[in-house]
Amino acid sequence: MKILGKKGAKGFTVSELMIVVGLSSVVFMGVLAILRVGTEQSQLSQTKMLLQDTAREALYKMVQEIRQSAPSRITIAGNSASIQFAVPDPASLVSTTSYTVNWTGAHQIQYALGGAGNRQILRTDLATNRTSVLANDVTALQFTGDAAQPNVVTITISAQRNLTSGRPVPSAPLQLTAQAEVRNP
Amino acid sequence: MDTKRRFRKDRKGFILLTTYLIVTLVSLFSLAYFTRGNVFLQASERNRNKIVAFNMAEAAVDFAVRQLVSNPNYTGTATFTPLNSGSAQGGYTVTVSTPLNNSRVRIIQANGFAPDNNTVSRAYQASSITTYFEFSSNPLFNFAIFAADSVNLTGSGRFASVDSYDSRTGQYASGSATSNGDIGVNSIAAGSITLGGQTIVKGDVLIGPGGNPSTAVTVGPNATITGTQSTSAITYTHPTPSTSVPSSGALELTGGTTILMPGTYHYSSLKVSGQGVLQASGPVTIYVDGAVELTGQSVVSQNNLPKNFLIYVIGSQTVTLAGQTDLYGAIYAPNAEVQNSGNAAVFGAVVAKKYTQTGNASIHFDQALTEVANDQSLGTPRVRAWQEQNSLTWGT
Repeated sequence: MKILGKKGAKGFTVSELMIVVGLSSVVFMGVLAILRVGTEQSQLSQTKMLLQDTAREALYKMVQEIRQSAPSRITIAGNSASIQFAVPDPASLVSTTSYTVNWTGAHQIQYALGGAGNRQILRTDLATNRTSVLANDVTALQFTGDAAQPNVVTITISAQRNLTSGRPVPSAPLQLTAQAEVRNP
Repeated sequence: MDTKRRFRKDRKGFILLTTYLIVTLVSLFSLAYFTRGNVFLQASERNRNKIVAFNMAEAAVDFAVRQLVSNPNYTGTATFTPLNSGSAQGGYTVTVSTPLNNSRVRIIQANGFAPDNNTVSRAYQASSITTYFEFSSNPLFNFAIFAADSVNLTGSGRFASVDSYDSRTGQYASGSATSNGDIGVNSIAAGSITLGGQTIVKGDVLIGPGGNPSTAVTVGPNATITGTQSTSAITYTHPTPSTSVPSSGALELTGGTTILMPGTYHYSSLKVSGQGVLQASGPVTIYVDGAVELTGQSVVSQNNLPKNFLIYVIGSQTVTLAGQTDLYGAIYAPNAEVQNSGNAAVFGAVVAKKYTQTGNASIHFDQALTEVANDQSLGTPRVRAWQEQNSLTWGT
């Protein structure tokens, strides 16, 4: 009886299978949707973090270099989008007779937006014409001076990146500001 | 039967292997994530320490400058000075040197370290700043009359006016005289400043730190002070002058005109009396060891500019002014009493140990004299040049 029962067992009907496949698909799609949301959230957080780090690092580098200049040796473009300033030769900082900064051998440095999609901060040494990239995904770069405090330069960076889905992160560009206090007289 | 058992036995082995494989894979992934996390952590620590080290170097510069304000001979600290604060661990070393060719300049070499100055420490970072500071000059003459001990002007029934002008913008004119004819003393004793007769002081009156102007300043019924009477926050230092110019002995003029070419002169004593005239043809600086008596016809400076006639009195013998014509010049006699019994005006300034005036002489302080630096007194250190170790290499 037992053997007969096993032999006589019936399979699933087509409708049963379709219901199973249908339900499984729904469940699978749900799981996929959850996974996709999770992945995008993770990507979003990582992108925000990366943007912040990049912008912060770029600000830090610019501030450090602008500090080496002098108020009278800084020129901010009329549209505030770029800056040019002189940095003295580290090997020959001062004249050993007057002990004033030796500007004759100084290099002229420029920071401006450019590069891929005009979204990179480019540092150009105008004396050697060498260019390096300080940061990517920068949508705006602004330099402002203050007549009351000529030794202070304010730098504002706006950064934003598009995810693979095309979604811009963050939705409004991330904005970071720093001030460089110029050290040389 | 045996075959079935063996199959079951093999299936158990397969499960064990599969478990091992999964455990190994999970361990590998965990290790990879752990390593990745650790790398991020170390990078983050290095980055933080880089900023801490830089700030430590800057703190070292600030510390050195603060020390230099109170002690211009400060040479720094070569030993590591920790400045740990919460999670920010670090410290600095700083050295201060003076170049041979400029005693006003100080070179500050500051090094910042995080977490300490041991190169094998975890996430060790160092930063350095080189700065050149220069002490500003303190003016030698910033009062119309300054005396360490006392100022007494003028005798009963006499008239004296103390006011100011600026020879850089023109000669003195009473109508345009300004009210910076200040009088100062370091003393706080009663009557340190006594203004008698018909004295008018167009300026402020300053006594030494901790004093009381109401007791230290005595103003006669006919005397006037247009400015304030107050207490100085500092004791003014007027070092004894010195010169490397050898002494030419005594200079005594009783008649005729003696012309001094521009330059520096050194005499054991200086006396101009009778019809004698001492005339300078350019900027002249005279150092006198002993007595100074200017009682003659005149001492004439070039273009009547007080800056062109400076007398530095090294010793403590009395300086006597009793000239019959105006004196355009400044007298710096920090160890001597200056007695002015003349009736002619003094255009310039006087620094003395004690100043006594009995005549009708007026003192017109020339503010251009504030450009004469007190070489032995250093002012505030100011930045001349600044350089930081930079991650963006210069020229690239």
